[in-house]
This record gives sequence, C-alpha cells and structure tokens, in this order.
Amino acid sequence: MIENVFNATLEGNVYDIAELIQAELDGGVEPQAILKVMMSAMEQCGKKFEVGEYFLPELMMAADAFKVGMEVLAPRLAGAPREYVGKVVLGTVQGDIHDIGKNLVGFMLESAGYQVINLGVDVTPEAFVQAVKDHSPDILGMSALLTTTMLGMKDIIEELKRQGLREQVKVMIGGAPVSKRVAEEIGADAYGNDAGQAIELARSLMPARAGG
Amino acid sequence: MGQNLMLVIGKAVIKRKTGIGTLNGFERFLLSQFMVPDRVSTFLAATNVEPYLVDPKYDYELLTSSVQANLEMFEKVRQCFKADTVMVPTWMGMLPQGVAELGVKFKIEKMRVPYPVESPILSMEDVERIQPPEKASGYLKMNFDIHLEAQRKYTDTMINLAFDGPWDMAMLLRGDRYLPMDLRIHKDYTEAKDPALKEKIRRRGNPDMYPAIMDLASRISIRHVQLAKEYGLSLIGASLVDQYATKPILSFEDFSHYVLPYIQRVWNACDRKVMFGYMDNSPDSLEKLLSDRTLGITASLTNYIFHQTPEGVTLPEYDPPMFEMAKKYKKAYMYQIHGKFLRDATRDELEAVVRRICGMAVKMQVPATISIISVPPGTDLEKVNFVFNLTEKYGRY
Repeated sequence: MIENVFNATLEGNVYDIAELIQAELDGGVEPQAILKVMMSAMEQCGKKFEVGEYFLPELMMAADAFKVGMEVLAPRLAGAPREYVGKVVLGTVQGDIHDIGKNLVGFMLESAGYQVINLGVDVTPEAFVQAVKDHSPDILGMSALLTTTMLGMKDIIEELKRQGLREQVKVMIGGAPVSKRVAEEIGADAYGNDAGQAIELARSLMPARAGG
Repeated sequence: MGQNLMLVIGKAVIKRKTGIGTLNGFERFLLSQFMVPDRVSTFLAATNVEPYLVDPKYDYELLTSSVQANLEMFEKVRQCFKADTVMVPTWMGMLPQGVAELGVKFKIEKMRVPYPVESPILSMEDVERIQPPEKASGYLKMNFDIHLEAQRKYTDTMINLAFDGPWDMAMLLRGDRYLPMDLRIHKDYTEAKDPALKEKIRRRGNPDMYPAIMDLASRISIRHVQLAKEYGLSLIGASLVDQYATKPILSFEDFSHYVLPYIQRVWNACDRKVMFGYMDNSPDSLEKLLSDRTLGITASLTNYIFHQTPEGVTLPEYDPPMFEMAKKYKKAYMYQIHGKFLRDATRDELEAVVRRICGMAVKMQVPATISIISVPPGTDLEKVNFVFNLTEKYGRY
C-alpha cells in the first residue's frame, strides 16, 4: 500500500523503502504518484522538526530514505521530467562550515517541490556567482552561523550586481546572526533565522508559483 | 588557582550577611551562583570578543601562534570591559580542544575564528588508529600554557578550563554530517528485534561505528582532563561541554540513552571534578531534570540556546518560568545577551531587556547574572559597558 511508502519516508526507513516502492510500481502505481507521496512525507518531516518532534537524525534518515526511493523511481520518471515549483541554489558562505541549518533548509524546500542545488560549505563568492550563472536559479540561499562569516554575504550580492546578475535571482539569507537590519543593509530580498521559515520565505519570493 | 576559592567565597558571604565591606566583582559573581549578592552580577566570555575590535594588531593568525598574544588580549579585554568577571582567555576557536593533534584539519585566517574543514574518522580503521594523547602538544599545550599563566596571574577571577565532552569531541573527529547518522543506524540496530531487519541495517551501515567513536571520544576527553591536571592546572570550575548534543540536534531521549552514559563515564573517571549541565531550547524539560535527581543530569539554568525573536532576544515568555524554577530549586539564572541583539539593538531596546530581567531577579530575590555572549563585528563597543552599567542601575536587590 502506498501508505507504507509514506511511512517509510517519514520514519527514515532506508532499509525497506526500495522494496516498498518497487512493489507499488509492480502493482501499477504511477511513479509520479509515488513521488508525490514521498514529498508529502518529507514536508511532514519538516513540520515535525519545526514543532520539536523530529531532530537531526530523523531528518537525515528521512532524507536518505527519500534519496534511496528516488534511485528506484528516477529511471521510471525519466520520460516524465519532474515538475518543480522553483530552483534554489544553497550554500554556506566562505569561512563557515556550519551546514546543519542549510541542509535542513534544503530538506524543507525539496519537500515543498523545489529543486535544490547544494553547494556545500565554505563557498567562495566566486562559486556562488558561478552557480547562479550555471543553474539560473530562482532563489539564491546563503547561510552563515557566525557573525564574522555573515559579512561575506554582502560581497556576494555586490558581485552579482557587478556581473549584471542581481535582477535575475532572489536572494535569501539565513542563520542565527542574520537580522532584518542585516538583510536591508546588504540588499537581500528575504531573511530567516531558522530552517522552519524556509518554505514560507521561498514562497513569498516566488508568489506566482507558490502553489507548489 | 592563585588563591583559595573557598576563602574568597567565605569572605564574600560574611560581607553580604554582615553588610560590612563592599563586594568586589569576583566575590559578587561567585555569590550569585548560589545566593543573592548585593546586585545582579555581570559576566563576559573574553574569547567571544572579536579581538581586532579591541586592538587591530590582534588577529586570529597571531592569536593561534602566540601564547603571549592571548594573554595580552585577555588583559586588554579586562581593561576595556567592566564586567564583574571576565573569563576564557583564548582566541583559537576549537583548537584548544586538542583535536588538530588527532587529525582534524583547521583553516586559520586573520579575521575569522579558526574552523574545522576535515574530520579524520572515515572508517572503523581510523577509529582504531587514533589514540588519546600521551602528553599535551600543539594547540592543546598552547591552551594549557595560556591557562596556567592566567590562573597564576589573575586572582580576581576564575580561569576555568572547558573540555569537549564525548559527543562534541566525536562531532569534530567524525564530522557533523556523519555522526548523527551513525547514531541512528546504531539505534535502529539496537532496537530491531527481527534478525532479517538487523541484517538489512548492517548492509546499510555499520551499527558498531557509533559506540566505537563515542568510546574513543570518551577516552580522549578523560585523557585531556588528566593531562590538564598533570600540567599543574586547577580543575576548579572546569566544565565538560556537549553543547551539540542538545535540541534541536538531538532529542532529549536520544541524549539520555545514547550520549549521557558516555558523559557520565568521563565524569566518573575524572573523579567528578568537571561540571556538566544540560541545556535545553526552552524551559519545558528543565523542570523535569531539576525535580528528578535519578536522571543524573544537571540542568543549566541559562537561556543560551533558547528560541529567540528575529531580533535575537530570548522569547520573553521563557524568563518567568526560568526565574520560578531558579527560586524553587535554589539555583541561579544566567541570562545571556546574544551578540546579534547587542550589535543591532538601540540603547532603549537594550535597556528594556536589562531592566526586565533585573526587575524579575530583584522582585523574586533570585540570584542572577547578566552575560554578554559575544561582541561581534559591527558592534559599538560602548554598548557592552552600557549593558553592565544598566545592570548596576537596575539590579540592586
């Protein structure tokens, strides 16, 4: 039953999810329907994290289960490209290696139907800008957990302007040290202090496609 | 330390109870940990003051290469900021934890706190290869040298050592992307009853990895405390820190079952001479820890990781229950002002917070400390003493 796929994703059951999905496919369930159920489970994971029911191991295992499930689904979805509501490039700024929050944002956005390209940590301004050129994302998300490294976000926005890229992407900044004042000062379009705000912020930056 | 702490406390208690003599800042801070002094005390962790704000000649490249530079910066911070107590005389990020010597690679740049970029444990072979150190060397030794000199020189404050507990140590050695997964695989395996499921779990990952890493991390933590003692350092006030083992990273249940036993092992091996306190991101579970001693966990009454407003202030609704708990269980509350709020707030906004917290402490006669967590770039340094002066103004019991 497809409910088993939902539960396996929600519970981070990486051990059984491949078999469960294969069983659904063999039973004639459409791959897109299975994907939708998995994404719904991921969104539920995000909500559980927000209210303090899920913690890092639960989220990481759920994301892993989702990935394992996608390995089974991907060949069946190849003919029908996955529809995303938007594309987001995420990275932790140079000098900062905190990625727990950024990765949680990635999970949340994926669960809400966004395509997420994760640049990792300690990302240079050049790498951020290159990623904007390479992927043409709707949103560029930058994360920092230190008040010192947060200062680098301004450099990235300035570089986007210098290269004529600023108008083609919305910039979202996140992390404990960011604030409204910082976002306004550096010219970011939105800011958030924790991963729980990610989906709402992304939707606010792309209102025309927020229905995803 | 350079003086007998019990004598200092005794003298402070006599001053307070008889009203003869004025408490100095150190006496006030010590008293405020267990009884109401003359006013709310103030505290600053020097390590969290960006050094170049105080003196542009000092940056992290210098501070990670010179014992003397750290001692000089500590003296400058003490002169610059008028907290009752200023502690933590090192500007080296996590390097003092001795993990670079175990294979953790760090990046050191002038204007940024040194940060780890690579963890040495990728496989069980790495766990078996890495051993606790025989002697203090490298940055661990540098940390000990700084503290030894500071303990000798500064008799009007406490120079406490902070040791990474087993979870935080393991996070550095294994990486924060892997350790939570190792825990989950170990947990799933431990809790699985079906042999077929256990087999599936083993095919997915190694359930023995987590206990092996935590055992190693525990032995390293124990050895570091032993080395500090052998080095001649005082362990009075020394703490075992596992700040990444709390919410929202780990649930309290996972912490209790899968981390606490290792912390207790370290604690017992160190003759219970290091302190450990569990921090929560809200007051909710702290009362349970305070009321149920059988859990064996001390609750830290501090707002350090509490949920905040976007401006960086602890949610105000958390403070009344914290003061009530402190009163009920005869504890002290350390209220921490976050660097972001210090940096961005107006003076009126800062005053409103200090006045509110001091007001509750005074009204309820609860010992309290106002601490500034960090002084980040972009901060007007005058705000730091402004906060301390406000505490003097509003914090008289």
